[in-house]
Amino acid sequence: MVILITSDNVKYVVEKDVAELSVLVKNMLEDIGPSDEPIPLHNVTSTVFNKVLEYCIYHRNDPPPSDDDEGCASPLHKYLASHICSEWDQRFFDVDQALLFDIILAANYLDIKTLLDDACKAVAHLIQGKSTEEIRGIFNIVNDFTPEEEARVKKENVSS
Amino acid sequence: MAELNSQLQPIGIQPCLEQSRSFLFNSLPVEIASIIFSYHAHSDASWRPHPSLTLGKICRTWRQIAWATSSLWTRLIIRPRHATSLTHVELAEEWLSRSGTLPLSIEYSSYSDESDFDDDLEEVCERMFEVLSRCSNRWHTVTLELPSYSLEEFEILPHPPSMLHHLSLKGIWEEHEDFRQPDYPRIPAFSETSPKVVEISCVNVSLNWTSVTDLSLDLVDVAEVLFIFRTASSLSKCVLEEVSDHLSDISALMKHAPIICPALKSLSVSFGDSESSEYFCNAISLPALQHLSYGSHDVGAIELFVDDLLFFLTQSSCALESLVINESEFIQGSLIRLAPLLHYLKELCIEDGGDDKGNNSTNTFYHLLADPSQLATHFLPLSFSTTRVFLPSLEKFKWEGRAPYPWDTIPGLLEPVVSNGLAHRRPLTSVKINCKSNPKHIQYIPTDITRRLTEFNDVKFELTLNSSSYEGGTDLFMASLERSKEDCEI
Repeated sequence: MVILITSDNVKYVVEKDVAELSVLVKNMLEDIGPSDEPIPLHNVTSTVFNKVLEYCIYHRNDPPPSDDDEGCASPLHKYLASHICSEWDQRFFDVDQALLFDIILAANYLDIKTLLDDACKAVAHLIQGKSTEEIRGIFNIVNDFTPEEEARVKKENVSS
Repeated sequence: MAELNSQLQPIGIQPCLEQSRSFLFNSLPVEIASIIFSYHAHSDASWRPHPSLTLGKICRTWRQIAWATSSLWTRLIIRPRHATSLTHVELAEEWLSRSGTLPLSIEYSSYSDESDFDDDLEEVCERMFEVLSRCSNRWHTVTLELPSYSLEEFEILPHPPSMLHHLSLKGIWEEHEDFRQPDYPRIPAFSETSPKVVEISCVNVSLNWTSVTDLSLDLVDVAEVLFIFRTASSLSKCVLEEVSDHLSDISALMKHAPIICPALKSLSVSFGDSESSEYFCNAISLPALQHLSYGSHDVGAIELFVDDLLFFLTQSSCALESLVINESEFIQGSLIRLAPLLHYLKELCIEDGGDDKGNNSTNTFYHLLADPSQLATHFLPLSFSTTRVFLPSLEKFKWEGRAPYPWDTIPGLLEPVVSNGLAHRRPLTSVKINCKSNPKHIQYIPTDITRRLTEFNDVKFELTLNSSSYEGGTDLFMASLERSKEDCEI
């Protein structure tokens, strides 16, 4: 078992194989060797870590991502990879935007590639098929193009 | 531990994640935004406007990130409506410049029913191909659907496309007959390329065929097929649509017969004329062939000869595992002669099967499978022996035809009658029979046969009337049971 402490001082006792889905935690465990010392997770709150843990427990037996998942040699591969297939994953990521972004940052910090990828797919899914205005609305983004830039954008899109 | 704690300090990440509930997308690290954009762009590249361009319309930050994310620009699709203006050539050039050094997927189609074959289109095609060629060393997948004269004009590629995996070329003709000429020249532009997957339609192409594993040729001269098969030593899967005799000089090629294509396991071939099937079958040998679909391009338009197919299979000496064949294209009953060569066959699919003249002959292929002793001696294959079971390895049987199916042969299909009295059971797990006939004249399955079939509870029977890919049709087995029940009640 591994003891992890979140930034708001909540202590978690986690099975080693689950904890080691985080490359960060795995490296730390290797560095400190056998020890009961808790590992602090400075940048993850308990609210977010609860979600991360839920994901890691569910996916603990998944095969590790292959090297083929890297790069972009095959567009078809990318296309397939861009779809979250599992219903469980779809439900898992059906959270408010702030929490979704927090999960992304936590996955990035903890170095959990599959969670990071899946969460990024979930955000990509939010903008799929949406118009420019809709996307701006979803993320509260202000159009800051100059008139010249706006004209250039229009030209590109009339041609597409 | 203090040292470890210091290692845990985030680098370049927002210090406290939960404090800012009104988190903005633009606060995400650029590399994460890039990942999200990349997934978005590849989720549906056929969406219009292209997802990558949409990302560049949101705000300056998004535009900068999108423009700097090479993976967003690796798939370029140029459709007919893009292909008529030089502005699009410039935009394509910009697009490709953003893709960095990544492998590219390019789809370029310049012709639709609305567009004309004219000089402007030819010039744009030429310029566009020039732009695309500049990064030919990064081509991974290339699909070109262009007027044939444009394809023929293309120069040899400046950079060898060493990454090219998939090449698809379709020549557009005003009249297909213009292509059906003897010894039609090959397009030289791709002569240095060695793709693995190739799809070609209505053009002849110079290519290094040795690496090709998957090949699809549409509207092709039989001479070109023989030429390709001579060198396609890695070919494992091949689809040939409408192979025709374009009256090319094949004498030189025939000198090399049999042309052996050693790795080819799966072949689907349809012929546009009888001559091409004869040339093909006489010249080609495919010793590794396991899956064969053999027929004419336009069912009913030509006659195929079982002798050609027999010669081809004998010459190939292959252990065929699956066969798809259209019975109506051969002389009635001639499939019988194929049976001795199908010892390893596991799947048989007969299309347009049976005798639609309504003959109640017992000299059919189906009777041979069930009980060869029913056949008149002169119908039996030469190698016939009374103790022999034909197609002993058959696992799946699929039949579709307009003629009534000889239902009396079904029990024998499962347990053929052998004269030495030894029981043999074919390892059939699936029997699909679909009769296409007027619902007013249904030929029901006889009661004794339906009763026999219920004994084979490890076999999945799908016996239907007028089933199609859209509709399941009538369950003929159930309809026959009900019918016999009604008859009993009467």
